[in-house]
Order: sequence, then structure tokens, then C-alpha cells
Amino acid sequence: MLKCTTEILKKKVLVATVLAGLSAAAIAQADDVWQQTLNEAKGQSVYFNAWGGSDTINDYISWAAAEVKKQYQVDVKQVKITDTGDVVSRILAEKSAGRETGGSVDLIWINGENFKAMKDNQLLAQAYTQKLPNYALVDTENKPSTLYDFTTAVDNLEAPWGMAQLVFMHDSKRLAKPPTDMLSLLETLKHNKGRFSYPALPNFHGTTFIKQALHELIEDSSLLSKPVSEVDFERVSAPLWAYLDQLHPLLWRSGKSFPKSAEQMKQLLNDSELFISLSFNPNDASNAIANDELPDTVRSYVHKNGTLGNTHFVAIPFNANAKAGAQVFANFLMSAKAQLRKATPAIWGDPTVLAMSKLSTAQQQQFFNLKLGAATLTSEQLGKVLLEPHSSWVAALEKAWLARYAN
Amino acid sequence: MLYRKLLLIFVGGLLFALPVLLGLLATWLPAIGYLPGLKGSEFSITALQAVFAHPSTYSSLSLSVSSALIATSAAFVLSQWLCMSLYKSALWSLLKHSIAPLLAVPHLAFAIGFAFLIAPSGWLMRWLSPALTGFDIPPDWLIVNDSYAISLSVGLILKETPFFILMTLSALSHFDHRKTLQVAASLRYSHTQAWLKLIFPQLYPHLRLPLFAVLSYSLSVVDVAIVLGPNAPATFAVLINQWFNHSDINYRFLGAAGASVMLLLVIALIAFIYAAEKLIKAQSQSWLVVGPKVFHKEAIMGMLLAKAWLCLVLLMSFLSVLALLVWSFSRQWRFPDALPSRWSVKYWEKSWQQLLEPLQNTASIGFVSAALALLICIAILQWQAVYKIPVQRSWWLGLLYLPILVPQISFLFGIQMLLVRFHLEGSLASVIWVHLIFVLPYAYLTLSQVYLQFDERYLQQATILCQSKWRAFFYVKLPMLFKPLAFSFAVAFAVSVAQYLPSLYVGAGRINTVTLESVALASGADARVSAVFALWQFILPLLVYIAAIIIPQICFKNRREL
Repeated sequence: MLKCTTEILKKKVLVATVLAGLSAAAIAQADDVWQQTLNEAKGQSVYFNAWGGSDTINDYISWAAAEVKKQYQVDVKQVKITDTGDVVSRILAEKSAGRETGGSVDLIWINGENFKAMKDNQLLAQAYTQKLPNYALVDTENKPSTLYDFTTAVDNLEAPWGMAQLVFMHDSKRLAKPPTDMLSLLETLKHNKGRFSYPALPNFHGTTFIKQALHELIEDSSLLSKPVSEVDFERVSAPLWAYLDQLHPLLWRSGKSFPKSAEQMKQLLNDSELFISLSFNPNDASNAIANDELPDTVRSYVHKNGTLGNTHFVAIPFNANAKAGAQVFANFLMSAKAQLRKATPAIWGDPTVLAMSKLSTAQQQQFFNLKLGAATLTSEQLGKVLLEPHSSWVAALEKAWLARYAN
Repeated sequence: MLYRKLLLIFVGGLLFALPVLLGLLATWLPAIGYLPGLKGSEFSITALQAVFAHPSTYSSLSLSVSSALIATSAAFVLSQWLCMSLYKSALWSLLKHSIAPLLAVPHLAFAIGFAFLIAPSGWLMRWLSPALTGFDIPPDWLIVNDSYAISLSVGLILKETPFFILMTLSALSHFDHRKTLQVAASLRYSHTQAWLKLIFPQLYPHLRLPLFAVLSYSLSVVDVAIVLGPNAPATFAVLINQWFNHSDINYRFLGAAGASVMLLLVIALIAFIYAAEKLIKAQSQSWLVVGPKVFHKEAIMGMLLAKAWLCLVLLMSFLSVLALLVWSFSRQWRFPDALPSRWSVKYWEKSWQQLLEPLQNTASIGFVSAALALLICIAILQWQAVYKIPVQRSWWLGLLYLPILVPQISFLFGIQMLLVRFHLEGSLASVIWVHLIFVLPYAYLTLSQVYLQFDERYLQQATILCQSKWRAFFYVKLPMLFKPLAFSFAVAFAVSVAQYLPSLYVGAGRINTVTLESVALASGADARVSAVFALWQFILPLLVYIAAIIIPQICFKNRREL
């Protein structure tokens, strides 16, 4: 291993010598730029606006903050928010007030519609991820959602942080055989009336469940990658509403009330009010069992034709006060060390965005050695990842859903 | 004299009302399409149209109106009935003494605990199951978050009744109710008749503003409605909040327009109640003066019911807090276990590290805003006392109460926009300032009666004796009023601690408070963590209330009459 590295190093030196500067200069320049960023970041306070509804995630962020404080003297403060849209609104308020610098948000945990909204309204800082040394480790080849965030081109405006995939959790003590797709979910609920639900839209997880159902029920799923204005929404979404009309009377509270969030559904699963819940973190169930938040009889499952998956990112607003510090933190979050810890089930269990092939053998081994909990599916079991529909679908689905079920 | 009066009105109005008016204005602009950063610089009514085109608007409006009217009127009637029935009964002192602790439980903490109690998988059901109910899994009953907003109304009734009782007790001190009742009794009025015909008409003018304030609060509350209210659709205030926080930024226009609709709704409902008051007054004129009617049976049943109701209010509040306490120490608690199967102090330990900064912020914001509010109130009240400007019938009193009459959600967005424009948001000072807006009216509300009733002859005597107005003021008047001052401070502090939307909109996320953390974690809904945070939200005001009771007792041990 060591020999190998030395060998490469020798080659590198040789190439650099032979080319007499050109590429070396470029590398050196990139290094210089990064060194400059590091210098600039020293002593900066980075206000990291991140959803604060999960204890385990908050703990992880505290750890990461302590690490960058130690290594780079950057002071990261997590601003615990309930809703990312709220932060987007604050940045917008700053923009409309003409505040071009000294904004209140330095880094924001974001994806999907919120990212699109920020991009469309020019609320983001210049492209930056290509400047981060650790960005080179990201698996952009096999994880297309790191380049297209809900079909919106990322354009280096946000740094990939973690991978998410929709998984369902069921309490095997109450429900031995979980459903395998939307139709069998309906059958299951006929025998277990009221033991499943999903958060009311516009909740993120609720929207995801509806998108998943649409994906499974729509005749031609390739339509989903087009903007919704280019399809006959009424017609193509008809099977979805027909399905939901059947499903709702079988839901928790007969579909007259909905859980507030996926996190509340976890509590309801613990209380046996629900037998099935859902999550975007494949490791959620194992984590919750370890925490005594769920009984150890809970297991995860996915639908047989795949479930929706996406990437979550961190972005820097156009008027951030500590851009350099934010870049340093974003870069740290993509480091093998931070990603490994994040993927550790007992800590957070959020899948990595990095490509194993781009890591050192030792680092790869550490990732392989991660012990998955009993309720966590292997990447094989997780099956096919379905891409998110074009982000314009969300508004159309939400509007139609509210008109039908929340009026 | 006149110019001093005008100055007072000006200063008072400026302090209390101006921020609200500015905030309203800055919310109305986007409501009619003007929001420069968002390609919105043309005036139009599209946002307003969009509000009424939204599928949830109408049902959500009717839920808000019905729950607010039911909660406010029921809490008001119940509080009056309790005061009337229990007046000078065995439970009268219990009633008087239970108010402070009941008020100290913040709305949000109470709502979380109440939901833990009454949900189908809640504590009550866990006690009964499976022995009495046969359930080993919770029934699928729609209790909390019901689509008619009943649980929300009940929660609000339980929480607002003590507030009305406090206001009634303070209003009773306005006139010689004992003498009125004695005279009435000698004229053979029954207690009920005397109360309804002679006491209540004198009480009501003092209760009108609190009544309107509760109505406005119930209509526009967000945090409690998220915990207890319906969600498909939610109440209108929650819907507006969703619009302000919607991932599609253009919904801000809808939010601003909705916030303006909310204000109109509050005005309409207040006008409705005011009209109802006038109508009832006109209709009952002859009944009021017809004199006593002799009943042989005094309403013993009514008395018993009143006692039962008081006990129920106390019990529900107590059990809600207890449910929080048990959840906060649990590690594993599954249905239908009556108590957790595993206990742990882990969540308390953890909360201590997480909450150190929010606790400091909350305490300092609360102390500073309450202290400032008290100083301002003393200044205004002393002014009023010197120039004998009575508290009632001053039209500007309405201005003082503007911050609690106008729904928070209808002007906070505007305040946020203004602060951002002047680079003032996100600092401790601006959060203290915005808290002060809401804290001031409560401080004034709790202090004004006692303060203006102070017998100025003490002061005159003292001034003669010590030859200094200031010394007399500091050594005689303030110590004599120390108890109500301390209580008013405690109320102000509690009001500050409970603020959610103001801290959210003005703190820019940088000034974290316990209440912000509680709502953030309640959205995460791990019952154990929510319970710990809700309790922290309760502990701070409780400590201050206790201090407000104990400190005057210690300080004035040697002066029993105080």
C-alpha cells in the first residue's frame, strides 16, 4: 500500500518535472486558492441553518462543528430550523431589503424545491463545489442525483452531503408480511384498517409518498421527468387519485386527520397506533431501535419495483457573511472521515455520497466494516432507486391533493 | 395639563402601537403585490384572489372562527360562573391560589402534555387498557387533531379560563363588591341574582379588552393549533404560517394576503362581540332593574358543578404536566403500559448541554424585557396617578392593547422585513425589543388596577416626613406595591418565555430560545425529547412566579400588613 502510494508520488513528481510546470502550476494554483480560503476562514463564525428535529443529526452536526473548530479554527453554529422554506424566505427578505452582504445564513441544508427556488431567484452564491478538494471524491458517475437535484441541474451550487432513499418500516410483531407495492398495501390495510397513514401535504414525506404512488401507478413513468406543464396532468394522474380514494378510508383516522411528520409517525409506530411508517433514511429503524424509540420487532422494507431516492446538499446563500468558512465546513462534511462517521448506524446512518473507488483502501475497508442494524436493508435489498420527478410536479400534486383531501 | 395628557397619549401610543402599525403596513404591501426582491413591484389583488382560490381557505377559515368563538365564549362564561359560584366558598382560596401556577404553564407545554394525556394511545387510555377496555393496541379514534377542532377548543378553554379568572379578580378590586353584595343581600337578592345584576355589569367593562385579546389569540394561535388542531385542512393561522414557509417563494404573497385577511377577521369578530354586548345590554335593561325575585332554592347543584369544574380544570392541567414529567424520564414506554417499562435521565442530561445557550438567551430576554416593561409601566402609571388620568374610558388604552389585540401573524412578517432592511434582525437587542411589544400590555394589564388604586395620602404623608418626593416614592410607594410589581414582573417574564413567532421572525435563527427549540423538536416528535423541552419551557416561568411570591414575603416579614 505504502509502496504503491510512493510509486504514484514518484510518477507524479516525474510528470510534473517533465511537463515543466503547466499542470503543476495549475495544481499549485488550486492549492493556493484553497489555502487562501482556509486562511480567510480562520476565526469566521458560520451559521449553518439545518433542520433541527432529530437529536441524532444534531449530535452529528455538533461533532462536525467541533472538528472544524479544532482543525481549521472555524466556528460553526447550527441554527436549528423546523422548515427549510422558512430560511429561504428569510434570505429572500434580505434580498428584497437590498442586503447584498452580511446575510444571516452562511450555509443551508437543502434540496429539491427549496434548492430550485433559491436557484431560480438568484439567492445562491457563485458555483463553489468544484473548488473543494473533497468534491473530487463524490460518486457523480453512479449517483446521478448528486448532479441533478430533483431534475434541477446542481451546477456546483450545492455540495452533496448524503444520500436518501424512501424506505418503509413495519412492526413485524403486528404485521408479519409487509406489502410489496402500492396495490398490496391496499390489501394489507383491508385487514389492518387504520394502521398506516402518511403526513398531510405539503409535508416533505407526505409529498414523497404521493410521488412514489404516482410512480408505481402511472402508465408511462418516463413522463415524470418532463415538466408537468408538458403533460396532460389530469389524465396521467387519474390512476393516482382513484387509488387514493380507495386508500384513504382505510388509513389511520380514516384519512380525516394525518400525522404531522414522518417523525411523529415513528412515535405512532412505537405506540402501535400505526403498523407501517416511512422514512428517507434507510437506517432510521435500526437507529430508533438502538434508541428505544421503536420496538426491536420493527423491520424495513421497500417496494419491489424500487423507491424514490435523492441527495441532500449544503448550499451557500448569495449574501453569506462567512463564505470561506462555509466552504471549509462543506468540504469537511464531504471528507471520508465525516462521511464514515455519518454512515455509522449508531451515529446517524446516512448513506455516503462518496465513491468507494476514489477512496484509499483503508478508508474503503472502514466503510465495508460498518455494521448494519437488523432493521437496515443492505444496498442490494434496497433495490432500484427511482429518480425524483421533475420538481414542477410537486406543486401540481400538492394543489390537486389539497383540493381533494383538505378542503 | 392638556398638553401633558397629549404627550402621555403620544408616548404611550408610540411605545405600544407604533411597531404594530409599521409591521401591519409592511405586511400589507406584499399582500397587494409589492415585494421588491420577488419580481413584485406592481400593485394587484392577485394574492388576495389566490387566497380565496386556495382549496383549503374556506373550510380552514370556518374552523378557525368556530374554534375561536367556542373557546373564547366558553372560557369566559365558565370563568364568570366559577367566580360567581365559588365566591367566598370553601374553594375560593383554592381558586385564587391556583391561578398563578395554572398561568405559569405555557400554552405550548400544556398542549403537548394535554395531547399526551387524551390521545387514543395517551396516558388515560394506558391506565384503562387493557383491563377495562380490552385494547392491547390503541383504538383508531379521532381525538387529538380532530377535524372539527374540538380538542383544540377544549385545550384553549382549559388554558384561557384561569386567565379570565385572574382578570375578574383584578376587576373585582375596582369597586366595593363586598358592600354591593351585602346591600343586595339585605334587599333579598339571591347571590346569583346579585352577581348577575349588580356585580357582572360592573365587571364587564374591565373584562372587555381581555375578552377581545383572548378571541384574537385563539383565532390566530399557531403553535398550540399545530399540536392539537386539525390538519386536513389546518386552522387558518397554521395555513398562513405554511404559506409563509412554503418552499415555493411566491407563496409569501399568499401568506401576506392571508395575514391581512386574518386581521380583518379579528376586527369583524370583535365587532360582532361588541354588537352582541350592546344588544344584550339593551335587551336586559328592564330585567336588570326589576329588583329581586325570591327563589327558595339557592342553586346548590350549580355550586357543586362549579366545584367539580374547577377540580377538572386543575386536574387536567396537573395531569398534563405530570404526563410530560413521566415521558421525560422514560426510556421505553409502550402501549398499554401504564408507566414506562424502562426509565432514564438521559434526555434531561442531554438537554442540559443542548439548552445551555437557549436557556441563557430565554432568561436574559425574559428578564430584560420584563424589567423594561415594568419600568415603562411604572413611569406611565405614575404619570397617570399624578395627573389623575383614569385607566378606564381612556380611548388610548385600546392603543396600549394593540399588540395583543392584533394577531401576531398579521404583522410579524412586516416587522421582519423592516428589521432586515435596517440590518437590525438577529441580535439579542432586537429580540428583546420585539418581546417588549408583547410583554408591555400584559405588564400594564396586571399592574394598572392596583397601582392606580394606591392611596396617594401615604405618599403625601411620606413626602412631608422625608421632604423628598423621590425618596417617598422609592421608600414608601414602591415597597408598598412590591407584591403586585413582583407578580406583574413574573407575568411579563412568562409571556416573554412563551413567545414563538416573534423569536422566530426576528431572531433570524441566531437567537435560540427554549420555545423555538421546543417547537423544532416537537416537529421531530420523539415524545421523550419533546417532554423534556416542554418542561424546560415551564420551569423558567415557574421559578420566577415562585420568586415573585417568596421574595416579597421574605423582604417584608416585619410588615405584616403588606
